[in-house]
Parts: sequence; C-alpha cells; structure tokens
Amino acid sequence: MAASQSWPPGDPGGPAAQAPADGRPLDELAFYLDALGRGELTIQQCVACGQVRWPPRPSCPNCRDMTSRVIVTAGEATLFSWTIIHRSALPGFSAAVPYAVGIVELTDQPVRMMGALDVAIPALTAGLALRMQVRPSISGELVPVWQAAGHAEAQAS
Amino acid sequence: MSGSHIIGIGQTAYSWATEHGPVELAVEAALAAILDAGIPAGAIDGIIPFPIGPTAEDLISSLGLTDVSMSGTCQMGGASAVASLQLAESAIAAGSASCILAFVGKNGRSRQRIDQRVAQLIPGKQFRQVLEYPIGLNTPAQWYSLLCRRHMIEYGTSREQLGAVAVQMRENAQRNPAAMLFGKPLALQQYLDSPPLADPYLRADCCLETDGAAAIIVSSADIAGDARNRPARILATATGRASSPDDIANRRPFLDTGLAHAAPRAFGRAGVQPSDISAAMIYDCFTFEVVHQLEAAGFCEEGAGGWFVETAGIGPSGRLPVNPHGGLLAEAHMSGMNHVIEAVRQLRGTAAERQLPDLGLIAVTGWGDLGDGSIAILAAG
Repeated sequence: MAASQSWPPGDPGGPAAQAPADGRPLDELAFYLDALGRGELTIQQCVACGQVRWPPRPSCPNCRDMTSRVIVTAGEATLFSWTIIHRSALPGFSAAVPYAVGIVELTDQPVRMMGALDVAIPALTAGLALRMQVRPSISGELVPVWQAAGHAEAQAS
Repeated sequence: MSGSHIIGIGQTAYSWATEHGPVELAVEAALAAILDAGIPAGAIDGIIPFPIGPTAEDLISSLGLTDVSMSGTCQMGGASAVASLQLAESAIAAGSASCILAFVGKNGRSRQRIDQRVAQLIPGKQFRQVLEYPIGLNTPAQWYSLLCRRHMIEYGTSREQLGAVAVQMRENAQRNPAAMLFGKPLALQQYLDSPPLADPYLRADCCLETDGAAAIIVSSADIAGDARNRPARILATATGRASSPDDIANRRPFLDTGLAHAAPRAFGRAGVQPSDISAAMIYDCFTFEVVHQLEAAGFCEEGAGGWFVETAGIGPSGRLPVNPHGGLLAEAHMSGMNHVIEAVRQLRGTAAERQLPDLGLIAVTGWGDLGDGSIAILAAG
C-alpha cells in the first residue's frame, strides 16, 4: 500500500471491530464483504425486474421478488454530501479526528452509499469525482475508501 | 366532550447528573402527572413506556397498579413520545384503556449517553455495524449532519440560519427557570465560535443530554371532565416513515422524512391547515432538524426553512413561535415528552413568563431514529 495514502487517519493498529451486538446473521452482507476481499464494490440486482438496490435486502422493494444477483460496480462516484467528524467515541477513531465521511452517488448505478473519504478537507465539494479503493479501516475491516478521481489516477500512474 | 385528552403532566428536575436512577425518576414524574391530573393512581389502566428505559412492569409495580389492561411502545426513536399520543388515542377509541400513562425516564447524561442508546435503538443495526462503524460513523449528529449538508448544497441554507435556531432556543430558555441552560444566554458570535463536532454541526447545533423524567396522562373524555386542571384536547395524531427508514443514503427524495408523510394526515384529520397553527413544538435534536421539520410539516415551502427561522421568525413574536420552553437544545432532552408538556402548559395558560398570547392550536412534532416522524395537533380542552 502506498505510503502517501492518508486514509485511514491516525494509527491503523486500533482494537478489533465490534461484532454485531445482537448476533444478527450477516448473510445479507456476505456477498459484499467477500467482494471487498477481491477489491470489488458490489451491490444487488433483482433478477425479476432488474432494479438494483443498496443496502442489501432479501426482497426487491420494487417488485417483491426474492431472487437477486450480485453486480460489480465501476467503483466510481460523485460526492453527494459529507460530514467532517471532529469527535468520535469509536475505538481507534477518537485519536484520528478530524476525518471526513460522505454519501457518494455511484456513477454507473442509481445507488448512493456511505463511504470513507480520503480527500483533503478543503477539497470537499458537491459533485467531486471520486474513485474507490478497498483498504483496511482503523478497526481492521476492509472498507471502500473514496479518493478524488484525479488523485487516484496520479497514484496509479 | 369526546376523543382523547392530555389531563396530567409531570416532570422531575432536569440535570447533568443525579444519583437517582431511571425508574425512580420515571416514578417521580408519573406521580407528579397523577397529582396534576387529580386522579387516583389506580385509575391508570394503560402504560406507554419510551422504547428505552424503565418498562411498563417497572411502573405497574412501583405505582401498585392492579388492573392495567393495555401497554405498548412506539418504536420510533425520538419520535416515540409524540407517537405515544397516537397509540393512546387508538387505545382509548378502541376501549382498550381509558387512562394512560406515557413517560420517559433516563440518566441520559450521567450514565447511558446518546451513542450507547442509539446502538440499542437504531434501525438497520447490521448496516450500521458492518458498513458505518468501520468508517467512523456512529452518532445521530454525524448521520443527520449529512442531511443538513445536503440541504445547504441544494438550498443555500447557511451557518447563520442554523445559528438563528440555536440562539432563539437559548433565548427562550432564559424565560424557563426549569431549563438546564437557564441563566446561560447564547449570542450568535458564541454560536459561531462553538467547536465543530460533525461539521456542519457545531457543539451549539446539538441538543442537550439530560438526567430526568417526564410523564403525561392521556384519558377518555369522561375522565377528562373530572380533571383537576384544564385538559388539552388531542385533535389529531399521525406518524410516518421516510422511504428506506433504515438507510439515509438511498432515500428518495433524499430529504424525505416520516413527518412529511404524517403531517398532511394530521392536518387532514383535524380539518385545519398549517397556517391555522399558533405555535409549534418542534423536535429540535439539532438546529437543522427545526428547519427540516418546518418544511416537512408544511409551515413553509421546501428549501425555505432557513429563511423562515432567520427572517419570518420562530421567537415568541415571530411568524410561528417554536419551543418557548427552549426545546431539546436548551431546556432538556426528554425525548420530546417535554415538548408535549410545554404544549399543555401553553394551552392551559400556565406558562408564566413565557406564556404565548392568543393561542389557538399547537402542533407538536417528533423526529427519531433515521427520520421517523410523528405529529399531534392539540387545542385547549
């Protein structure tokens, strides 16, 4: 991983992630987590009517069909909204403030999602073009991290 | 008389810390409401606990109630207190109960603080835990600041407009000796200098956390006729859910709220318009949620909420007086039960220094979880 990467902020050696406290099975999210391990960002698509959906659901909110397929997104988005967090009680994150979290709008699918932002705070602006990389979070899990598209290309070249 | 009426109101002191636990606080507030109503405790036959905190069993046991025929809880986060009025109204209309205690009691500041409470209450826990906690997102201030930011982008809502809400709520609290921030006025410059928590939210955009309890008693018309103090009549209640209530990001439209669905139903049932409302108790968990709900309830056009709070005015002499008690931002965080209590006081004409003149109808709103909404329209009984 490139040393210039500034996300996750702070020390990545934080405590392990909190397990879901209510013990709810993660079946609905298993495909997504598996794909992150391959560096891919995936969502669901209804087999019956073709509507894509996020976050994962057992049935299609449009046609109620319970059969779905997984599709891989392009990992490109624009910035829809964001917050700059200056105080956090989550393990590992409290020492990492300030950091930005946003809602991104995928460019190839009609879906928005919450995402970590590796963008300099003054550069945050509505509509900013973003590209995704999968990286470990402070708390250890793989998460999609969004960088300004131009910055991500410069790193790749 | 017919319908349902709020006949009793009660509250404890609101504080930053108390040695009394939530059950004791809830019992104290319930006893105050019973005394205020002028009914025997044994008349209570229905219990509506807030979704977190003391239970129906706690209150039944402590109050020695022997014939409770109805209990239930509304799962709408902070919208639950106002939603309780809908549940109470339904139960009374169905004959399931005739005298219902609804309450909130918590050590919301000294023990179980907001991030711990929402970890229990919040909808879509698996999404929060797997998708959001690992990117450092886990509090209402953080989630809702994303709504506020988008409103700023779409409509130009400004920092100063958010500040107008914070300053007005604080000014209102200076007329309320029971408010936690009584004696602590806030100037706009102090607001602007407040440290950021989840930018665009500064500390001064965020509500209090409180130790205390608040309770109300809702009854049938028969019982209300014998109440010690003037009842408040429930003209209409409604609740609603935003599309994708467990996920903010994919809501369509993005700023959809449960209140936008509930408000037209409530106004329709009451046979009135938003312009008929004299004052509003708005669930002010954050400054922007006042702006947001003024729009969602129909008090102004979508996008005009910032103008409304800054120019039309939400102070005692403004276009629509809001939260004369100071609200969650400056009185206390009693999860909106304190808003119901303030509405009853105002309708009775017993709000002392902060009494609003010439009141007709009061609307009370609730906002909770990731955008659930509730509303009640009340009149003097």
